Amino acid sequence: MSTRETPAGEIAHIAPPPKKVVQRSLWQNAWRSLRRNPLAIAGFALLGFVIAMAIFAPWVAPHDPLEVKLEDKLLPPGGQYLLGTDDMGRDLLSRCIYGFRISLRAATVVLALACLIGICLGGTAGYLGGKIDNLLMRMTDMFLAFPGYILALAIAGALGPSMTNAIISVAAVWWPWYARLIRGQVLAVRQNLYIDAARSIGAGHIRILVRHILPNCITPLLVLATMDLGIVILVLANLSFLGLGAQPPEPELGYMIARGRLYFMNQWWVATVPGVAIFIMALGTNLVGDAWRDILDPRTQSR
Amino acid sequence: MRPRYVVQRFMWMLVSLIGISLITFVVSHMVPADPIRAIAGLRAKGEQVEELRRRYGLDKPLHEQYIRWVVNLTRGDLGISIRTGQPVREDLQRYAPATAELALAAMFLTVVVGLPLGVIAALHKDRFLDHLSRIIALSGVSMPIFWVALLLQIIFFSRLNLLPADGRLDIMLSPPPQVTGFYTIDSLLAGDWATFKNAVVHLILPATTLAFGSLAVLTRMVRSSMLDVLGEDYIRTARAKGLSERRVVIAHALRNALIPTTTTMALLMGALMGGVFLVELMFSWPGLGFYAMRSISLVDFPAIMGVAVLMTVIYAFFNFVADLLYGFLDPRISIEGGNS
Repeated sequence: MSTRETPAGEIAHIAPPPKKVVQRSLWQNAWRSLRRNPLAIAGFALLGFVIAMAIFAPWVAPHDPLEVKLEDKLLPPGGQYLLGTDDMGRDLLSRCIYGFRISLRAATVVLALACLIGICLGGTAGYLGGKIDNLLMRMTDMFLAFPGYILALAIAGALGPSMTNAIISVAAVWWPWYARLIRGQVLAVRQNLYIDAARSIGAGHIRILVRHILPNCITPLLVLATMDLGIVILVLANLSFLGLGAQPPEPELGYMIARGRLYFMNQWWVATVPGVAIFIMALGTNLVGDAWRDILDPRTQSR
Repeated sequence: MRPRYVVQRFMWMLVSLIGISLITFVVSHMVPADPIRAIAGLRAKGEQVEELRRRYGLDKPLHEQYIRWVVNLTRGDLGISIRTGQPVREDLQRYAPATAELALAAMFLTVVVGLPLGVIAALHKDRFLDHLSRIIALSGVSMPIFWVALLLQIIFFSRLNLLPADGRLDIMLSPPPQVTGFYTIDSLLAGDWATFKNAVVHLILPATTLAFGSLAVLTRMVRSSMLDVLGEDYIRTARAKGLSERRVVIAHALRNALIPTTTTMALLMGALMGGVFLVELMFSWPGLGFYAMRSISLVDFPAIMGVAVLMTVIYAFFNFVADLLYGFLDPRISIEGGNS
């Protein structure tokens, strides 16, 4: 602790000027901590790069990701195809760039769904309290009492293989964390005086919840979603790898690795290149997520 | 530890188990496929199929099937696997040791690498080594597990031909006489040195793959709890009385930092179960994940339910252990359920 201590005797005579309490908003904290953390900046740069690639894929990709050219199959990296070609002669670089697009979009949808369910259930539980709160939270705990990945696998298997079903199944096991978080936030915000004020001027429950409580709960939710993005990308890739996610000929990275696995003895790049692409994407999001963790952790805040 | 709390936790575990089994039951019966058709073969006559259906109780309405399943479960009976024709419980008993051996080996690697990495990171906070350990840890969680498996196979099996890429033992070797079900321990007990070496060599790649993901979590946890402890007054006291830095770090700081770390390890052990599925698939490791994957592809209801129940129990068990350890290791914390 670096608080300056005043000798006890002095206090009676000259009271020291009241120590100025430095209050910083979450964003100010974020900015301060970011400037000191080169890895976080690297993370933002990496993620920015991936997002830019995903958005501008049609302009950035040198080839059509779906164009089959059997005479060019399994070419090693270099030459006309910067990162080589797969077993159908498709350009791996272009497929990876489009792969960013598919993964990011799918992961964002999963997290949006998880947030939505979380807000509905967690908001209801926190606002109403009592028996309903108890029931909803027990239900949430039940989902948390089981390894989510395995449950997602089972649901995806039951729904049948497709990217939409993979998204649904991951969202179906992901929401409990968000419901918990929102409930806690709602419980805290509900205490505020302005909620009583809103009630006293006759605002209805829905209005109070939607207009006054939820907007004040949203920031931590977004932070959690950022931190989860990398994991969700990987889980979706896992499902695709098992054949439960994106279907051919979509350039989904997990599925591309599964195909490349057939050639791993001799044409190592077919599986390696899409793997590196997932790695770059996940590392970027995880670095950003880790930076957030530091920002939120009061122990790492400098006084 | 108050007995009331333990009982409460235990009851809650039972409730979760029922809930999870219900979810699994509904989900696995949503599948449009028909397992009976699959095992009876396409040419089976109608009455044969009906006969099989009756034998597995699949002719009853769904809720009756579920109730019967729960009643049997209370007697420790998980039903007969449609695919293997064996009682599911025996199947699980046969496959579980392989998974346990793999998970423990992965946990061992995680601790051996993650603990020093976390301590080093904390001691060099915000300097080069801290950043380096952060990169290593985050890289671990940023790689898809099946890709790590593939890369390790490419490098150590296909290129260098150093390590085997599948199974628990070479095909020529027969498993050691079963005592614990762990090939490494059993072969040692049998004094079979060659089999022991072979079993260890087979463990290396799958265990490393599995350890990758948990490494990050452990490292970050050790780092942050070390940082916590290093700021405490008793560390300053230890330094003030002239102890060597080494002693301060190991005897005073690390010992206390291990309290939250142990809890994390118990939680990680539960979390490893998710990764086990893919790793076992990638390395043809004959464990629970391997068994489950095959059962899922054949819609073998009793087997799927059996694995789900076992997984839930394992997961809940480790969460429970984590809770108990927390109170046990840190006397400042006492869990008393509603006394605050």
